[in-house]
Amino acid sequence: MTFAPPPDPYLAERIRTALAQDARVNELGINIALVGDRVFVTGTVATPERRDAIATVIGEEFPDLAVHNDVTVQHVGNHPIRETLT
Amino acid sequence: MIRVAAIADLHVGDECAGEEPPMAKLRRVSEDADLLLLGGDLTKCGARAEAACLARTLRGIDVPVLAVLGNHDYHADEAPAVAALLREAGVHVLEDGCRVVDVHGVRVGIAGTKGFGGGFVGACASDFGEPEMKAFVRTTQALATRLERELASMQQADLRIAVLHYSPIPETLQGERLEIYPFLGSYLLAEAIDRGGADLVVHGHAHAGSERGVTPGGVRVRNVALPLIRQPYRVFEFGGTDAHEAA
Repeated sequence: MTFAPPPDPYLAERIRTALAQDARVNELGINIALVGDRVFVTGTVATPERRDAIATVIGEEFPDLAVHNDVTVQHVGNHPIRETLT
Repeated sequence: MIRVAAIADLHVGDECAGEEPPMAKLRRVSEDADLLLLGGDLTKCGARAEAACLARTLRGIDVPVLAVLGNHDYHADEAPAVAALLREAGVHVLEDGCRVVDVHGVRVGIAGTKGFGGGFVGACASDFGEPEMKAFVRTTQALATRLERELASMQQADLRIAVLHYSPIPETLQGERLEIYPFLGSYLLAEAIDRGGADLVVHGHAHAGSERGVTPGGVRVRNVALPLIRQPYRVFEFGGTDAHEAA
């Protein structure tokens, strides 16, 4: 009988650090969920380019992982809320 | 009536996407407000090219703009260049000192600091131990001390506002993971605000936090991080007759 090697408990944080430091992304609030050799990425970023760059960076740095990029792009409305303070 | 617009965490990249919200709306902020406050993380990583894109938008705004930087604005180790580009665009960088702005004859005093972390009462870092830990806590202490002094120096203003990047209270962090609160703000900032005196605090940094809170001394705090409010800015009106909210 063979056993799969234990998952690296620190891999998720290495991925988060790579996304924080890579100039194409520079995002701190990205969530990483590892399931076997798949990584599910969630969170919100400002632009479609940064969302796409997340998959690119993970693919370059961690080529053995299959990336599921579920990151969304923030939608900004055009009607500021007013609050009156007394 | 005084109308104050505030936004934080724009995270502008070097794409110069000036036709998209929030940047297009920011250029027309004078339709909604008498001054604009920017609560840090104005750029993606603090690169000159990003600051230049931001400056291009801010240069055309025809109300006073006052800003603090955020942690992202420091990452590329070019914070002085970022601040310089903002100044060239006509922005008053509050790290240079507080300012009293005359709005329709009302003196609005604004002081600001990026602030820093450390945590909140009962679960915070102490000025004790290794040099690195003491340096961490003393950085926040020094910024808070300066903020208190500047707020106190503007007692003659009719209205005083503090602009931060980090949060002074835990209430506007609710929604973030509790474990990272010490990296999101410090009670030392609230203590400084309560001692120095203010009518409103705006901050950012906590994208998943909550919008509203109050310092222990009774100063309203508003988290205006763009990823949280999802509008180009919030507008706070002073001088009305009743507290309310409207779109």
